[in-house]
Amino acid sequence: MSLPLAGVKLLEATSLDCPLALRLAVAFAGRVAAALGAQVVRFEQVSGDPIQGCEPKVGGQSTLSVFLNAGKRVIPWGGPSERDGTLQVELGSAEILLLDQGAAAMAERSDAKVKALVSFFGDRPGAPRDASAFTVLALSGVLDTVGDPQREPLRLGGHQLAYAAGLSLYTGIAAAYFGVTGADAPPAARETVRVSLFDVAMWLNWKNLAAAAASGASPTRAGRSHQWQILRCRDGWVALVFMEKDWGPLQSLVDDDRLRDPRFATEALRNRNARALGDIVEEHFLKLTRREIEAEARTRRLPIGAVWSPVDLANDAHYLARDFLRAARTAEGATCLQPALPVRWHRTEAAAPAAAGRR
Amino acid sequence: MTGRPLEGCRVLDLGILTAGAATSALLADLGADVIKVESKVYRDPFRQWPSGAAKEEAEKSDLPPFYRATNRNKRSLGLNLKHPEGRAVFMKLAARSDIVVENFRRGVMASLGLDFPALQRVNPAIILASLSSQGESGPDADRVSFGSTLEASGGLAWLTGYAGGDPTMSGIALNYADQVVAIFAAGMVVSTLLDRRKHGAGCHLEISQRELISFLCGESFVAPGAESRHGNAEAPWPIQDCFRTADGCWIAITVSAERRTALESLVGCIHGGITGNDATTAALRGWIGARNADAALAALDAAGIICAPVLDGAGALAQGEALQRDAVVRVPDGKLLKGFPFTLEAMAMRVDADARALGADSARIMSELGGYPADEIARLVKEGIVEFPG
Repeated sequence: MSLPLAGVKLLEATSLDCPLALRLAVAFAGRVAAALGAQVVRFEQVSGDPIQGCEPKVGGQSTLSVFLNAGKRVIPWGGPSERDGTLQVELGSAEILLLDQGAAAMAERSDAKVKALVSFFGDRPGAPRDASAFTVLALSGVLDTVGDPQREPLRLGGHQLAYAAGLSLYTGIAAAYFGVTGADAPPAARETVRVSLFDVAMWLNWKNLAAAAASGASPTRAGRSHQWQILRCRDGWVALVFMEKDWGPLQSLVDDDRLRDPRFATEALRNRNARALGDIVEEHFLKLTRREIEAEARTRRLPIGAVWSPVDLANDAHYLARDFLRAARTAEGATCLQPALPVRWHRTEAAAPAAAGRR
Repeated sequence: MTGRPLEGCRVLDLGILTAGAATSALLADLGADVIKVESKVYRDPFRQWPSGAAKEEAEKSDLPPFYRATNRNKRSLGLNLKHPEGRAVFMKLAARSDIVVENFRRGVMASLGLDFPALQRVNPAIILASLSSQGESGPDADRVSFGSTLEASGGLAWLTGYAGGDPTMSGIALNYADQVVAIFAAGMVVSTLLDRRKHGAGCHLEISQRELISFLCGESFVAPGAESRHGNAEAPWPIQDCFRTADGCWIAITVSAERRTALESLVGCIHGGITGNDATTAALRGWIGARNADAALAALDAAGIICAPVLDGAGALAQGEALQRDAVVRVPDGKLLKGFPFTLEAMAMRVDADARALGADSARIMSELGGYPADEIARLVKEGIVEFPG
């Protein structure tokens, strides 16, 4: 099948002083759209673009830029200006605009069917005057949920909040575009999509918030004081994840009489004594490799998984069989890998936009 | 324009827990008619998943907080898919639907006779959205996992952790992988509807949660080799971390290169230059450790330093409803439901209805959509194939 957004023209741009997290959200949404066949035009600052500036680099280009700008037409740009003819032409032809709130004035110069704006808090009263993705995670309660209870709260690796906001932007523009281009929609139908990183973080954290609203008590980061924990094994780490029904099969995998101790008899007790439980399981895991533990878990249908690094995954048999990570070239011609968009139709994948060939 | 984008679309929702049910919830928020299909032998575990002090309430009802939060705006059909006649009813409904969402273990749809070829025979335009851990193909396709497992096996846990420490995953309270997949899957379903509008044909949409987690760390795969864990540090900020106050709170701080001098003046640290992050961080830690949270936050804010208190769930909710207008929704009884991760101005999403007891809409769906006469519905109920509440 053709790609769903084939023939759709999308323009992405951010204000010159746009915070990094909002730039990442816009670029991520554009990356998804490009992988789905949209013609994505990205206006990029001639100098000082933080996405280009971030380390590490490959062939002189930041890995962030290689990943996020794959499949886009990038136009170097000095910033919004009434006299900027190139910008005006592109604004005139784009059906979808992806902008940060600081660039909202650009939206007024366009008659695009869908305009999407990302911000930290929208126009909410009482919002902090300045923020980063990190401080938004703090205010939403997400940061409090990760890490060791005795230590500082911990952010998830990479740029998870910005990218989750990028996913929200993409889903928002897809829904809006579907609505305004429907057979019943008037030709003049237009839609504005708004995403705030704070809303996204709160939405992600709904279980914690629902529990707090129902009970008044908030679950907080548990580290190794919850029965789900990351444990060492012979060649790395393994995530011990299991439910009530998995306790018997886990006992069988570890085969240690100490796990039959009454202090592990119920889920509540296992959580209360999670560190002692983890120590016993880890003692067994230290004799085994990640592959061996995964094989044992698979036999018993246990949801335990090894911790794999990006290097491990570049050589992972499952990813290779699914051609998920594909050989490509950067704009400067350096070799690199690009993950495919994680979706398939009829077992025919969306193209990885910058793929120069398959391994 | 007041209609929502997916009005007129019908979804048969076989999704449970977070990943599947939240995907369908977003489609319902966008205006689709979502029919959640469960039975006494296949019930969404969230119906019996109490949270905290709500345990007693949950035991009295099949609508505990987690279930309500993510199944509002849906109708409920009680239908036993393990019975051949139940499957026949499902196929009849599928013939009049646009989308089926499922996150069963791989192979279950085929063993039930409800896989894509079977669905397509009754409805060539049907879209089947399958959310799974590993995707439909590949040597690990039959592996079982939860969202947290996939943070480990997809590369995110490798990148998360204290500097020099072990890999870390989000806990059961957040279960990050199950949240993001719902936003992505809803977007892919809508994209597929766009494609179907052009070509008319349905398709099987396959989403691997593990691959999504890797995609969300996409830059780490461009030239893999040097990735490691850096705690809360993040390029390009010279300093970013949480610091403990004298009254035992944590403050999250992001220091830009431009505000570094202001910070050093505030905390009484001699300018450390590019290589002096450790000295500045140590001075900041000491300065905050000697102050209560309110005083520290006020002084940092006055100095133009990006900062915020680290709030727990209750603290996040206590910030005032204006600030959290779209993220969470409160229903008339005061209970909290999930809100929206994005908003539409003209075709605004909204929560119209609370979650329903199992089978609360069975009669109407069987009659109006399935076209079954009352006596036939009564027989199916008597034989335990169709279920009503209670």
